[in-house]
Amino acid sequence: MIPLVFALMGCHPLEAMSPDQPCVEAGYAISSRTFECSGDPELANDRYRDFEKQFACIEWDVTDPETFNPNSREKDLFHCALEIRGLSCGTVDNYGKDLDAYLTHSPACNLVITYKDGSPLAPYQDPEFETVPCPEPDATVPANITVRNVSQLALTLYWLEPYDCTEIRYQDIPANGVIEQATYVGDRWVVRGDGGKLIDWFDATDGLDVEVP
Amino acid sequence: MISILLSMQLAIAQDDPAWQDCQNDQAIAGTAGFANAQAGKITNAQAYGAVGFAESRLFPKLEDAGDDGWTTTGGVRYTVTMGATHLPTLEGGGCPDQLRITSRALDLAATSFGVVASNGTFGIFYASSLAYGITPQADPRLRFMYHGAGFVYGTVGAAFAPVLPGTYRQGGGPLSTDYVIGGIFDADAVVANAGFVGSTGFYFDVRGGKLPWFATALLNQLSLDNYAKGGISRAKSKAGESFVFARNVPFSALPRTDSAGNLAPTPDLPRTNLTTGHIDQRSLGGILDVEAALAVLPSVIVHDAHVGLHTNGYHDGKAGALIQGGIVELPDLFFYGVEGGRKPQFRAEVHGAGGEPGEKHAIGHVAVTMNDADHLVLFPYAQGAVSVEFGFEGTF
Repeated sequence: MIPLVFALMGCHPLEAMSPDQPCVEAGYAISSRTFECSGDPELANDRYRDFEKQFACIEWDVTDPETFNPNSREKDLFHCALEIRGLSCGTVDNYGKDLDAYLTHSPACNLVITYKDGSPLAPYQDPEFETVPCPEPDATVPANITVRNVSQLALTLYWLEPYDCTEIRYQDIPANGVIEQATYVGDRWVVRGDGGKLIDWFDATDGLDVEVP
Repeated sequence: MISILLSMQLAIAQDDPAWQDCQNDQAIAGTAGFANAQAGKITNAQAYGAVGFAESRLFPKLEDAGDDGWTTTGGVRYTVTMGATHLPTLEGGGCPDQLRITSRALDLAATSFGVVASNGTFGIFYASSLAYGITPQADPRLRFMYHGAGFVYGTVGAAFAPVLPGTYRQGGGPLSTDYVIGGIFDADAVVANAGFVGSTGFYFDVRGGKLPWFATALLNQLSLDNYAKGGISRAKSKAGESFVFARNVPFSALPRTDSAGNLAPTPDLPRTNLTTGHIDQRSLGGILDVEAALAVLPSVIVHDAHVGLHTNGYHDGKAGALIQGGIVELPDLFFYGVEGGRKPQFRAEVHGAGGEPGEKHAIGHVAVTMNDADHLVLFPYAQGAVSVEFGFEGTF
């Protein structure tokens, strides 16, 4: 028994990523948000099956170093699934069974998914993505901030990474909700709404209490 | 033979250093594996934490001990599920190109220990636990060593759980500690437990006592809420022991956590129920178990069918071994990234025992399982994962 335990514990914990995984994850994301927003597991399963029927996956060469860059929306193959998982329930309800609509939220969807007949998705339209200026690096003094969402819409808090000016998603701010975030004095935080719409941005000070929008 | 295979595996590991260098992993958010990992840590902390250990191991052991004055039962348990889910990760370092984006296993483990004392009517109990989830080192030897150390340090961490303020989480972070302390009232037909749980507050549970029926439910546990089970247990006859019961297990939407691993306030997670009916006939001819379960919700499927062979007296606390095999089936759960269907399952288990069952008695156990039905309903995304559990309980 003990050698059996040893042998099983010694199993290889790494597997190469399936080339169609970024595309499949987009289908899972649609199913997951449907379940979370509707509470209907059968509807959620049906949405995934419909996704499989309507779309085909573009298989990627996972050995290509250019395949995946998590700091770029245009190179982050999983950005499509990430954006779908961040959609508000209002948006999910609006889209319903219109699966094309879910795939309009990230340029990465066009990289990993086509229609079943091989034709590409509609070109990605950037919803006037407004950028925020980069902060100075070297924030070292710990601080805590509070963000109050006084709107009826769910928002998302991003940290603006100072070196390459990338926005890192931190946490959701529920409608009429309050969140707290540990940070450093001088860190720049960005609040965005549905479709990446810029709501507000601010620099952290200890005890900062911000009301958005 | 297994030892030879192990040696060969380690030899291969030594000759192929490239994949061992894949250590700087960064989990890729937005994927089902990422969400399952967060949920898995929460479920692991609840199912294999202090309360779960007391309910599944300590209380049954105490009830087997008889009513002669004060009886004390204590025990310890370590569980690890290897590859409970797989996280898409970006690998750094000297990783070979084909593994730059990988599917990396997440291991979930927990150590619990506790003690319960009762005079047959009134009793007190205490249990504490430490649970964790890790993406292990690529090198299998380091993975094995980590879990060995996890048992040692986990037991120490569990021992200090009540004096580690600020770490009582329900599992969203990498580590979670918990404890439960309370009292027991045993009126023979009904047993009531009440106490305080470090992570969730007050705790109350009522179950059938020495009669062969039972009913149990878990409340106020985020991912296990709506878990209920009831039926007839250990009805003895010439044909062995019979169990007939129904069970409802919730599959809820995945709770969300913030970047610090704390649970976001999502009190009413939508869920669907897996409702099953079970017929278990154990110890036919003293050595054969036949167990089956039919799911009626969300769809009618044969959920579990397996047979087991064991040594005489295995289910009565005697030393021995059991080997079991069969099939398990889950419905499609695409919102977890899980495609349903039938999977093979197996269990191998060894007991060592000392003393006389029903009196002063100690039992040690090691079990290895894959696709165990009871485990898969808690972790439906853990298909193909291997779980190891070992521990002991003693009555003195």
